Amino acid sequence: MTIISIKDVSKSFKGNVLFENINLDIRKGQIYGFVGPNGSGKSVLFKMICGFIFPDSGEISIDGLEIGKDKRFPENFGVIIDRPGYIASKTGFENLKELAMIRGNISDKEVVETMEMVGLDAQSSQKTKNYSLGMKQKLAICQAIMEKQEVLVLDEPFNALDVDSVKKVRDLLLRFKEEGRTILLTSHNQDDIKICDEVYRINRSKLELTLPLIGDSHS
Amino acid sequence: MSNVAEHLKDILIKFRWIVIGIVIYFYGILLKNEIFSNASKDGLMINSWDVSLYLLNDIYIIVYFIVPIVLFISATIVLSDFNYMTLIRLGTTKKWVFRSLRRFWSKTSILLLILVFMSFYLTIGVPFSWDWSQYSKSNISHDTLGEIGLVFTAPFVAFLFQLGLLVLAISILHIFLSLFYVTIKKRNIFLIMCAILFLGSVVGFKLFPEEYAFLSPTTYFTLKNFIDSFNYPLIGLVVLIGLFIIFYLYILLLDINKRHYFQSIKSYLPHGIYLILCLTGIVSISISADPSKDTILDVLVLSFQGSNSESFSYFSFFYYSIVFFGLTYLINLDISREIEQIGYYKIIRYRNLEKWFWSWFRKFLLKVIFFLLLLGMFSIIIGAIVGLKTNFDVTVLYVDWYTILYHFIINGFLQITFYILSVFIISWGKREASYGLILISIFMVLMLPGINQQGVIPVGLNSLVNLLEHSPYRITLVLLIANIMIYLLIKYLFTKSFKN
Ligand SMILES: Nc1ncnc2c1ncn2[C@@H]1O[C@H](COP(=O)(O)OP(=O)(O)OP(=O)(O)O)[C@@H](O)[C@H]1O
Ligand SMILES: [Mg+2]
Repeated sequence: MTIISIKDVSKSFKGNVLFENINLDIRKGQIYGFVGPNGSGKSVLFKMICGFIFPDSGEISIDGLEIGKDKRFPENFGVIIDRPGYIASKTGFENLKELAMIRGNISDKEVVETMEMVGLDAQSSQKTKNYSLGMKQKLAICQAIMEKQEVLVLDEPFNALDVDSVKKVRDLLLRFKEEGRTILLTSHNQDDIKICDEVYRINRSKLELTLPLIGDSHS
Repeated sequence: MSNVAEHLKDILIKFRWIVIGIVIYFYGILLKNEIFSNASKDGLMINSWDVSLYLLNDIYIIVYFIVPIVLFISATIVLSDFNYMTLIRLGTTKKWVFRSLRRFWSKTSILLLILVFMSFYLTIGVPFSWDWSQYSKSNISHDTLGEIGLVFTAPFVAFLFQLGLLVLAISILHIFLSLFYVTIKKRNIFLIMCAILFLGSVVGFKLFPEEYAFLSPTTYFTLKNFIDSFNYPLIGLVVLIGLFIIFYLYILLLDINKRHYFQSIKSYLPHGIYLILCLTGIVSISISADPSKDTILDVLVLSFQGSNSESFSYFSFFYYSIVFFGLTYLINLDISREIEQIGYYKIIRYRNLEKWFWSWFRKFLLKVIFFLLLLGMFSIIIGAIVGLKTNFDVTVLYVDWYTILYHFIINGFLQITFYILSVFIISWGKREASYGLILISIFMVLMLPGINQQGVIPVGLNSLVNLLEHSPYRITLVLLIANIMIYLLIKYLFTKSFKN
């Protein structure tokens, strides 16, 4: 079942062509990886999928609804893009609670459980302005998964995490996949990419399938 | 060392509202003494309203104190709240703008409360009265309170107006800032904009010549400046509401990809043209009215007089047709869409046709009421803008204002409901929008002179000229019976179509 459909999408910034007529269907319950050098447009692709920026031409639809026409931001997406901004003078828990209140579909207990899942102390009175880089990244992961979002769009989710935490988060993502959730991620690390069912490389403004290799495996 | 500084900062943040209250209090004392000495020089009596209105209208406390705090609250909320984590949960930028406005007011309302509280607190010891004092009616108060005492009948009204003005102007300021940030998304440019607004309000009230005072933000914060530059407060309000509407229209476009602007504008084109036609009629009537004797309600009567078998004029007949049959036609388009495109698919879920019918018909009824209120408001506001008399007399008909409004709203509503129901029956039977047009043409013929002499054919009965011959309650009765009959017919058609 196709959840996200990208049709003939092109995007450039002031003459810098990032994408030219790319096409892709994202199916439910799979993990998709996107790779490419710095500045190749991975984050821009994710921003377009989430409706934060619009493509110059072509269309992106989520569950059949076109972004920028029928809908602005997709529903029930968990997202990590860019450096997230937190309220510096509040604790990690308070920041997450603030976000959870917008939709109001989870309890405090579920917020605490999610924090424990990624190895953050929910009871800590430490303000986020004093958080380390890795702790901030964990907080970003928490907000992306705490509401049991159906689709996770994670731009470099493993950034700044220590070895144990990377393993923890990888296992989490695989568990989510078993539950039928769909995951899109980018990474510069070959090991992270191994959990993906399909991997695309951004090459000369196109998306190239690099894994599974064409003709290879179970087709 | 840094710990002490941090601690001090925490304390200051914790007690910020108290600090603000104290500043306002001491500044207020200075103002109070000024009024006291001014008034006693000429031996004039003052009352509590002089003190509280003076504080609320003091340009210096507004410009140098309230505006910076408001800008600060607004900027911090916009900057901290605009992030993708919040946006994706809200679903649209539009919701973000209104959420941001709510959060803004959760803080700013405290500031306003303190200001209002202080304006009352300072009046302790000053005699209270519901009327204007000698001082505020005298010439010397013009330096301090301006013409407020001359424009408003009671100080309490002026006070409420001042408060409403402040709330509206500050809301628009915040909406402007949030839209500005959403559009450019650049932190630095946004902060420069805040600085420009602050400087603009500081120099604005001194530098702008009177004709351009409406460009200065400060004009909208105090009643004194507001009246000085608009002479008539209602016009200034229209400017503010106009700004609000423009911002709102912009908000509607925020979530649409620019490539689709044209498409979405195109789909609203019939509605747009229709609204412009409606407004043109009201405007041309208002302009041709006589400011020396006609009132704002006369505009309403002249615009929507319509026609009946006795009195007929081409202009009113065509204007009635444009407004009421135009509305019927637009609604007919929506109804046939409801029936053709999604009707069957939805009907299966509702099982019961009547439930399905009410599920969308309700909304049309609400729209009709809203539309009638809007038309009424527009005629009154436009009438006021072109300078007609702003009392509630009606000079062109010998009828009270409440009869006019009753007839315009209630009978208008019933009449339009009858049109919509008739058009629905046609669309239901023929499943084709063009048949609705034929029915509308028949209605127009029925309105021609000499045909509906007894006033029992339920067409054109909401024309205001009908008040010359019939009681509005009789018309209500006729329309009610017509609506009930046509609704029973619809019920019958529904049961029949289920048997097939
Ligand atoms: N809002 C914008 N305005 C102008 N140019 C932009 C904008 N956003 C991204 N770019 C440009 O688009 C290109 C792709 O950026 P993007 O952040 O998608 O790269 P990336 O593949 O995610 O790189 P990295 O691996 O470093 O994260 C860059 O050259 C960037 O400068
Ligand atoms: Mg990136």
